[in-house]
Amino acid sequence: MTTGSGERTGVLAVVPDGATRDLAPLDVVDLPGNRLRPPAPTELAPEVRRRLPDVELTDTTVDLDAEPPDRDLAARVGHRPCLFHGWVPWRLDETGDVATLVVAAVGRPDPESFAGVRELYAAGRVEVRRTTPTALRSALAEVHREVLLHEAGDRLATRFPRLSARSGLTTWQRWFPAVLLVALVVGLVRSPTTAIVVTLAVANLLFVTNVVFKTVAVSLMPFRAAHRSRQQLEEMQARVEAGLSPQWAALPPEDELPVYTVLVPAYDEANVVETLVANLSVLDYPPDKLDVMLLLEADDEATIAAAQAADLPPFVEVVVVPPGTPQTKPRACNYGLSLARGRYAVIYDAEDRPDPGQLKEAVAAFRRDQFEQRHGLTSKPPLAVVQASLHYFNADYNVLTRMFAIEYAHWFEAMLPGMDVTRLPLPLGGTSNHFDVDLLRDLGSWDPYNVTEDADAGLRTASAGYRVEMMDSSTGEEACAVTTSWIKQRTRWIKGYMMTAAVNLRDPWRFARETGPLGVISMLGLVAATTLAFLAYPLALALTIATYIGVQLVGLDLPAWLTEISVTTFVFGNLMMIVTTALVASWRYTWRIGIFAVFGPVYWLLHSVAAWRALHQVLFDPHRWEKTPHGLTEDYESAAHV
Amino acid sequence: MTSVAVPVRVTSGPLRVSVDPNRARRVPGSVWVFLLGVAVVAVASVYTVRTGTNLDYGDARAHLAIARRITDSKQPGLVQLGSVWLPVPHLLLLPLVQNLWMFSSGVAGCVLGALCMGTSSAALWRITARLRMPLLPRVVALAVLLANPSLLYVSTTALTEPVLVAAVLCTIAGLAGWATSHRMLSGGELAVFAGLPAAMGVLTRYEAWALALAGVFFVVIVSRRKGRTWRASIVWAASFAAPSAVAVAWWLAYNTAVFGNPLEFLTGQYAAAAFTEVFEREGQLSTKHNAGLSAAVYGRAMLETSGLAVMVIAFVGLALTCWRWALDDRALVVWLGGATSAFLLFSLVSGQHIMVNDAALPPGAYNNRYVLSAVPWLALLTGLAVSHLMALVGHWREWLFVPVAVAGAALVAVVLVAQNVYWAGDPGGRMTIIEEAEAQHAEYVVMRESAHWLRDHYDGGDVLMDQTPADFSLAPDLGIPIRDFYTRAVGGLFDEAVADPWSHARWVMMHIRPIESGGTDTERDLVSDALADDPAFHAAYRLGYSQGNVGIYRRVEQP
Repeated sequence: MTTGSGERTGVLAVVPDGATRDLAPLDVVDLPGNRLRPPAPTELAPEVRRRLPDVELTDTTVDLDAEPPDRDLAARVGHRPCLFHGWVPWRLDETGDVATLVVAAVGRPDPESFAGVRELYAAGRVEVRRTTPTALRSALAEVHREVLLHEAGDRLATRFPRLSARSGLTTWQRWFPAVLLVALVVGLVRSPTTAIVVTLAVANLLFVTNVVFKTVAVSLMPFRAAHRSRQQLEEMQARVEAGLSPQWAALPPEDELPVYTVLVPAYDEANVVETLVANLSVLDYPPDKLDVMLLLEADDEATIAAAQAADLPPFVEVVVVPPGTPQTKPRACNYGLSLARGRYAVIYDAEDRPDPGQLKEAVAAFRRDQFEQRHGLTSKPPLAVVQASLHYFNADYNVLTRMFAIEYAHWFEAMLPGMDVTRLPLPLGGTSNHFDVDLLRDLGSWDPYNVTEDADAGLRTASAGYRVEMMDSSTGEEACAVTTSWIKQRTRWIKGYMMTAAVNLRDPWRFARETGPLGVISMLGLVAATTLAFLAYPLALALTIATYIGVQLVGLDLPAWLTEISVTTFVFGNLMMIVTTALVASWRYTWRIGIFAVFGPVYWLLHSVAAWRALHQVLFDPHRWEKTPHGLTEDYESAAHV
Repeated sequence: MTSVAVPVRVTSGPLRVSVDPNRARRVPGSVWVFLLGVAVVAVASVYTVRTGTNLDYGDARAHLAIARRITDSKQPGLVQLGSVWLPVPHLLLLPLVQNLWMFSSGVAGCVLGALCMGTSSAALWRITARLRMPLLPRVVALAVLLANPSLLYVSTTALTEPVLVAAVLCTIAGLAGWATSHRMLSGGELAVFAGLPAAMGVLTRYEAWALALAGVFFVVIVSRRKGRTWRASIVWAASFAAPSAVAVAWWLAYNTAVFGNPLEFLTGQYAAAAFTEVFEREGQLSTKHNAGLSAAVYGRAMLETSGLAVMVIAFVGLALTCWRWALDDRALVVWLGGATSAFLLFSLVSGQHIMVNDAALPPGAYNNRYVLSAVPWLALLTGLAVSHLMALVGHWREWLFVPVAVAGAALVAVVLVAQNVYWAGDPGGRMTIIEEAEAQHAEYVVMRESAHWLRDHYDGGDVLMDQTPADFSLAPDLGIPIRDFYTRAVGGLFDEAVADPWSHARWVMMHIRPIESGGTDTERDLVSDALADDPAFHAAYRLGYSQGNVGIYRRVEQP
């Protein structure tokens, strides 16, 4: 057991008090005492210690699949404490003088973990029998099925309906596009030129806003590096002057590292199970501290079969998510999070190739923040999420993957670090975001109704007064190599951005109050302007082309100021994006990738297609999840990213 | 506690697939070959710029002027691209001619030509790799390309052939890479690596249109041979053709927008067709409907451009390729190189092109540089001749492989040296491209001296001058910002200046006597036509310089 500073405390208080006996399972879940992290040692009353039952460890094994725990008995203790301490109440033997609670446990549970047993079961003795981690988790999943499904699907919407996308757009949000459309049509009928001028002016404004936001963010990236370097040197100097070693040991000894949960949601990806094992096997983390869950949907028989047939390492467990709605990745992740044993958790896609040291780096980042917060060494909000950068290992598979790689390089290597400097709320990437599990649960976990649960979680984290930080570690992903699939994937992402903006702006003033000016800038400059700019891009492009080959071609008689400003901003905006993305991608990969940035204007047209699809879906099918296929580039033979 | 370390892979990189280096994405040596091509033209440029011969061709001067006019004109903009020539060479020259010295000295053309030669060399290098030729034959092919004095000379000018050659070779290299790749590359990659160069070629010279068409057939045939469906094959072909189609669509739209006629470039008063019409009227288009004469003229141009020995070896290479490879994918790649030559020959026969040399009736020297697009093909075939011989001999007696390779390469080297020594003996008499350059040089001596006089005496106040007639295509020699000129390229402003020169221009440069020509309107000097016999003009302007029929007038002003 570790506290924020990583010391072993050996302290726990695992069960709610006796009053919880009659509570419904849902209530049990949300009791403060049911948190994974135990209270500090001082919180454990001496009388509780005195009431610890007698504990007998046996070598008897229990097959929980054949003989599942007594449901009523097991349900009295929340699944989280059970997972954390590695035991589940199995039987209650009341035949003797003293009632004996028989538990099925993994390893040798800490006797103090039975502190509440006497009150909860009126048992003065505990008999510990052996079981396997997989069997324990399966048993708990079965016992707490309803709770887990609620947590996975509707917990956020129930507890914080204002923050959930379950109810979709509000009435005014649903009608807003229609009103705009009607206004445009009326304008075109009454005064076509004015309507076109206004539309194009707005389109250009959005485009410029988006470009300026991104360019400013990118230009701040070098300052971040310089600031970090300076800070590091100052710290080293101060430590040396204080007679300490120059560098602070961020990590504890390996046997004191916290358990780390790795969530790997997969659907219809039987072909990548083997790859998953290979990729996660290189993680530099003690295997007994790794809690890898391959989250599979119940109806995905092929992947389940492949996973069961695969020779999975002991730290990888197949967790089948029961059927339910919405059947989305965040729902699966929420289910996995409920069953997580780790202090920290990260999401990886099945084909992801994380840097081997990424988990340790994340632990170090959290530990450092905890130390700084505890000693008042920082004015930053507490750290809730550490985001690794993402790159594509199949970057030069085809033109689309190159463009995708360029975009990701710009996003993860330049923009997000640049935004990090300004402390703007950061939208998270789809994978490789490392969470403090308890904080994530407090924040409501992921929104299963939001198709970009990552971006939403990032902004929700900022709203709740926490922060997201970029880490100097990267994960290789597989870029989507098929245009139709890419458009579907991007439709989902942009739709998620739209939903995230819609959810957060249901009450704009409240959002502004909660997040402050930085949150507003992030929401408007990044989330809203990005999506709107993609919608407007074809208009601006058409105007530029028409202007260059002669406006008279399309019979437009636009004011000179509009065409000049539009063409200038559009040409320079595109040039700015091309140059910055080319530089960043060349730095991240090679110039052979970076040079493809010249095709950015065409690539952004694909974004526009996706954006218009997204708008349609937001209005008519907001929760639709268009799955991105993986493992399509297995014949990849290059190594551009190396 | 030990960490997990299953040695599945040693880095975070992917599992690597073993790849034949000739079929891999990167072809070793491409960058060095590119630099070599650039360096060779750079050295040649030092000579031509110092002697001024890089500006001998009137067309070269015109290309420089068009490129600069886009930004430096009384009426700047893409409209200055006009429709006489396809636009890509001018757009490529655009950034280079922004510097007045690079414009007036023609160095801008040298830079573009050097980059094109570097690109051509690298593309040829890649093609030979895709054809799995051994190193020595690849070097031979490269040597034939780089040791061609006509191509080198043209690469130091602003003529369009270097751009065309580079586009053609890049297209073929892209198609060859696609056809020989380990996996079927996507339509996007085909569009970028082969389709875009083809589109560049399509907007450079019409010969490339034939290559684009041939490329479409090539893609369909190769993909069908690889067992792909008709649908997939058509998608690939469409991917390859899409950039060219967009390029053509843009060009048509541009012509419509600027001139009100999408086919202005074909049917307009400045189009090539108008010129051929004049030649035909004067009885000089003797190749039209005469396949034998067309072949003779074309052959003569190739002979004087590439040399007899190279042509013979190339023919051997072609024959061996047909024998050994029949019509497999590699052979098709080789035949792609001949697409531009086939088109040129066809257009000579159909009367679309004019080419005049000693084999023509009447003889002369005109437009022979068109055959330069065949030089890379001859280079490739020469390399293939050596490659095939090595393979044949190696098959027969393995120990003879290396000696034959060395002997073949040495033979080609001797041939190249001997050919160049022969050409050097009388460049103007033995190389038709140089002959035409020298002829134009002699023709323009007076004009250039006049231009230099104006450059030296110009004191501002704008110049009225019709630069459309070929002998007045002097913008680089004038060395004066083009925005100081009233030329036909500024449209209505030119007409206003001609109607009222005193209010517009301090200087007027024109033919003292109007040009007597039955040719196209482009051969007329509209300034001279309007002002030569106008007493009011002569009262207001004083002749400051004259030589031959060229006069430079200065406005009479109060001291």
